[in-house]
Amino acid sequence: MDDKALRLQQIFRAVFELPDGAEVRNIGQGTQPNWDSLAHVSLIVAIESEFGLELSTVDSLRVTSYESAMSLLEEKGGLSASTT
Amino acid sequence: MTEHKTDSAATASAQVLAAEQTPPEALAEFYRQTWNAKASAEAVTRALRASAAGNAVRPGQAPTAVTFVLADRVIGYLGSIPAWFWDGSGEHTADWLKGFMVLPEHRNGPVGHMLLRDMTKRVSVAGSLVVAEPARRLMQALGYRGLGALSNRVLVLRYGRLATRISPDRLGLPRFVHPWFGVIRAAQKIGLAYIAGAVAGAGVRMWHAVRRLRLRKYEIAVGGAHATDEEIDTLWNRVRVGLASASVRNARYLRWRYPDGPNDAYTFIFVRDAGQLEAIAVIRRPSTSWEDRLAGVKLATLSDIVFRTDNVEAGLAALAAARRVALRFGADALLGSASHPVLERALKESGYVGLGGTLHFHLRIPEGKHSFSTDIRDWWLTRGDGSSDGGV
Repeated sequence: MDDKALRLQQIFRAVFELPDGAEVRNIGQGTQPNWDSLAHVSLIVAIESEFGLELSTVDSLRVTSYESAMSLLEEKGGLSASTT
Repeated sequence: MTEHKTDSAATASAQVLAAEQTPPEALAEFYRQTWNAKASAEAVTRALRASAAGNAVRPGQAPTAVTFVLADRVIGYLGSIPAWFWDGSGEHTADWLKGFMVLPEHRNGPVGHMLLRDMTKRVSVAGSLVVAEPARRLMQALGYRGLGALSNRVLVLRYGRLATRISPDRLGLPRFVHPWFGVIRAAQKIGLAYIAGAVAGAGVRMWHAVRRLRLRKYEIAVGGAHATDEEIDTLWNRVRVGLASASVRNARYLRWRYPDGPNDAYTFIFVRDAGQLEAIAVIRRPSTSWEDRLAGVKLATLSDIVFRTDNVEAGLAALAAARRVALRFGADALLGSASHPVLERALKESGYVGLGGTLHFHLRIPEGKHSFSTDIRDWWLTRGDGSSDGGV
């Protein structure tokens, strides 16, 4: 698994308060009970910050699952390694 | 997140707009999908103009409302009701945030957050009565202070009809009420429901009749025309001195907020003692309840009530009259909510039983010269129109 995917998974675990190692690749808005509007904004802000991206509102609307976030990252590029 | 711009990689654009800048047809389509299946672009334009013309707080201005528009389609909405809030020494313009709704397929995304953030930039002092947890979390994240929940109370008007529709357990009624339901249910099984209902109802009616004797000195008038604006303002000025914080109930506000015409949803009740106005109650005519616990029940709402905190008897007289008016409208039960302990006590004394709190009061107090209490028990809050916001 590449570094980008691992970092995205860490973001999902942190935002949705899941334990280390929890499987997040099947997470979606419909399946994650604490995925609400506020959690969504936290997720987008964390993705922007971690990958050095600036996502538009339309991009943000497209993030409805781990899978869609990963697709967006592939499309947008973003930093390949953490800068922090 | 970068807002208000078209995404270069997508054909769609997304932006938050003021309602009056939103294409009326797009707004009408949103209304049709959420609140009113018959909404048209013309009706939406008319309603916006009427709300500006009738605005009691900022005459000529449409109440602040924002929409989230995605590719020419409205997918979220947040409105407001202009008001004044009393802080114990002065009245300040404010807004009740109301009608927070995002289409189901776009919930739990950025829409609710962006709508609330945009609205927050447009309003100053603002309050909101919110039921849903996600909306409450958003409000707190954007600087609204959660002061707690109003207590909901219900007055059962027709035990027989209520017992056929719901169980007391589901309603959350206290144990002492359960025997009434048990007797009625058993009687229904053997075909004596009418008699059992009548017996239960007769006992309760007798209790209310005895109470009415105690309150007979008060004159009751039903209908908005039965008091002048001056009388209402005089009462409000006497009421407010006993309150630390409240939404203002002067004549301008009450008459605008609760239209009382023949085709309107509200009815005013005025209570006088020796010719002087001492209390006002506003009843919303019954509709089938939206609340899960009361699903299927024909529920009238005690939308508002005003009386001096040192004159609870006048409040009790208003509540007794409200009960009779709700019965006349064919309601099975009358629902009220209160934050102030004096109103809560009056509801309790009038036979209302507790349902717990679902309406959470959130308050935004920007920097400025006001001293609103942050204790919900200092606030005189009631239920308003009784409807709930949708999902965000």
